[in-house]
Amino acid sequence: MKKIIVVVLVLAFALSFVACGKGDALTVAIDDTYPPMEYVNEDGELVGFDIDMAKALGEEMGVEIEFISTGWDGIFAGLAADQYDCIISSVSITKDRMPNMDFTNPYLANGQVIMVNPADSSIATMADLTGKQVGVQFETTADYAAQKVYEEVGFEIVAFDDMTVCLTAMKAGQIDCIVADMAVAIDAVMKDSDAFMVSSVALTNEPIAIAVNKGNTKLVDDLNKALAAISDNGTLSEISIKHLSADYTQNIDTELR
Amino acid sequence: MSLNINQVLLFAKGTLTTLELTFVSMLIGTFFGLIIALGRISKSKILEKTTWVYVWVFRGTPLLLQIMIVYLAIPLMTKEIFGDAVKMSRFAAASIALVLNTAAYLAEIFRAGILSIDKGQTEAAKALGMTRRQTMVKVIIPQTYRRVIPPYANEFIMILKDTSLVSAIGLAELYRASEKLSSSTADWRYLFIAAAIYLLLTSVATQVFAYFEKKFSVYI
Amino acid sequence: MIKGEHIDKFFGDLQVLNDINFEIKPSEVVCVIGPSGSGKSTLLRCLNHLERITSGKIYIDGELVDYRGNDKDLMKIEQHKVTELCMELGMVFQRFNLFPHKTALGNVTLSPMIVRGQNKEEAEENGRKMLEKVGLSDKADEYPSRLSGGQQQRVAIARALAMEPKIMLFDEPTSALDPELVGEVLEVMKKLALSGMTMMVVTHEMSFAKEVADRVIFMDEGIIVEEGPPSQIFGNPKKDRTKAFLARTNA
Repeated sequence: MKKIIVVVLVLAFALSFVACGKGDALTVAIDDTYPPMEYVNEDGELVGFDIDMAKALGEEMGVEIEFISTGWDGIFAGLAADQYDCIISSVSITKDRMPNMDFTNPYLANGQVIMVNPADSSIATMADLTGKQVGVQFETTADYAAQKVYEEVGFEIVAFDDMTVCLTAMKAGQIDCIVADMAVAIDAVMKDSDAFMVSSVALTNEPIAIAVNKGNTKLVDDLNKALAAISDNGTLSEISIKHLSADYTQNIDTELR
Repeated sequence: MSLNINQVLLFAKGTLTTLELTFVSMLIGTFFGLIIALGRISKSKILEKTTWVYVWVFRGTPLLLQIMIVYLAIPLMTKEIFGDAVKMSRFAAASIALVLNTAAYLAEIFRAGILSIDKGQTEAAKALGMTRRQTMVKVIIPQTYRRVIPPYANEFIMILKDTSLVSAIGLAELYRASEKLSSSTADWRYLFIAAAIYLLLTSVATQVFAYFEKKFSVYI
Repeated sequence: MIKGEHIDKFFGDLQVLNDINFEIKPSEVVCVIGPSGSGKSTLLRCLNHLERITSGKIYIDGELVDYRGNDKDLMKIEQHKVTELCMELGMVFQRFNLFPHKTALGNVTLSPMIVRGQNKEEAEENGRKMLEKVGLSDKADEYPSRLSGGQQQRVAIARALAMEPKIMLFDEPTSALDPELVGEVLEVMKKLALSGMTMMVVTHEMSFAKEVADRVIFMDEGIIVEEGPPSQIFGNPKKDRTKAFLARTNA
């Protein structure tokens, strides 16, 4: 009896290694609580702009894509620890991030915008946020942007781990507005124009790219080649129109503001 | 590694929130837990059934889910039904969920304590002319303190750690503090600092409860 | 003082008391003897409502305190009436049932304070008197865990007496004691009997019954087989069952 237990345990142990082996696939980390870029739909499927784009890149590069769902906090630590090859999860290029990781060329224009309830038209700039409860996703560029000015302007930052929880919180009236990526705002308004409205111009310019562990220049090159290919042949634009109703992938402003 | 003053403050604030949530939920939870426990052993069928359902629901669903429901689902529901959403601060939402959850667990702990007291005690009290209420307050419940302390301490320590769940609704407690620092710098060592603080807090709690257990055992 | 008429008691299908009729007069000391399972303890416990009879009537001090038929209340008894009843009947248990979280004095004063509403000084003065009566003045501040079995039972007697009951009920008061400790408790009970207290004692201590009882009731299998003065029961038992029981216990 003892012998059987030992054999079973050893097998289970060995199998666990096989299960987490990398194989030949390109492992891509995503925070799947971020519509329309990466999220889980009503049917429980993983969908979104980044999902479609990653798959297109995989085809172009001739590799399998393996998505790894991980919370936003810790996503960069995981990259540094080589738990996956890259992050394709609406990662904005910022000066602060550049020392810690390498970026491909940007594939999507982006900036922070403010989302409000359509009934409330008083908020157009950061300065109008005084006395409000402002929702952001924890440790995103929206969070950082809000952190820079909240004391001065006088508002409260409510930072959520999940973007979806943040959106629901606004619908529930627990927060007054949200600062988020343009893509998130566009999608929220598209899906629920009774609850959301974009009330400001882009407050920052922070195009989105793929993040790769520092020093992995080969992967950056391979990805850039593939990105250029799907951009040229129109695949990228198609994906943008599908998820964002318009093409934000061409002529991207690369100046960081 | 060394921490600058801002980081120390961040951890300090987070720890304070963790402690506030723990004490609020344990104190209020104890009060309601006792009431529910008495309801569970009451002769009234209605009381017994209602409290049974309460315990069943709040022990049978995850705390994280309860926190989300209080913070998100309740306002959304009231908005739909009444047109106006019930608004509450995150601390209030978290506290409510924690209290509801704690009360259920403590109710069962108290009930077990009360039932473990020898039947002869109740008989002697009755034979001396005491009412059921007098018996409970003067004879039974004081004898449960000693027995109830180990599982109570357990619950306290669990809640102290479970407060980390409130980060899901954006409350800045201890775990959040370490999340914040470690994710912005990709330095995992902050997580260990948080772990050390939790361990320190739970160890202090353990010692305090051990002291009280000894104190209440003086007549044994 | 106590009168029981046609008392039946069932535990489920098991009949434990079968048409019991008995009476205890003021200042009488009645000992109830019999084999285990004869129902004697149950009878005692029915008097102060620790058990409820299935049918029959019980009178205490001339007042009807329980009237049931088919396990149903044929007269409504309110909580405060039951409390009053319990105050008139003091009870001493086989396992003492002292409150472990209170000192000896604390045990004795608790009920007088919260049930009779005495203040602390009154209750303690009276309490010390009771402890003196049972010979334990010097143990007033000890917790039960530090007292011997005999001492604990004596405190229990003092506790019951502190409520100034009219009748004292003893449910096998010495059965749980080591033999050397039985004597001190029986002494206290003897003194109490001599002072004129009405007592109903369920016991296995035949010598006590012989010496102190005014009347002895022998019960077996739920019925009263025989009753009479000790001289009759122990010296000249009329029923065969009585004889058989006494022979077994070598009394």
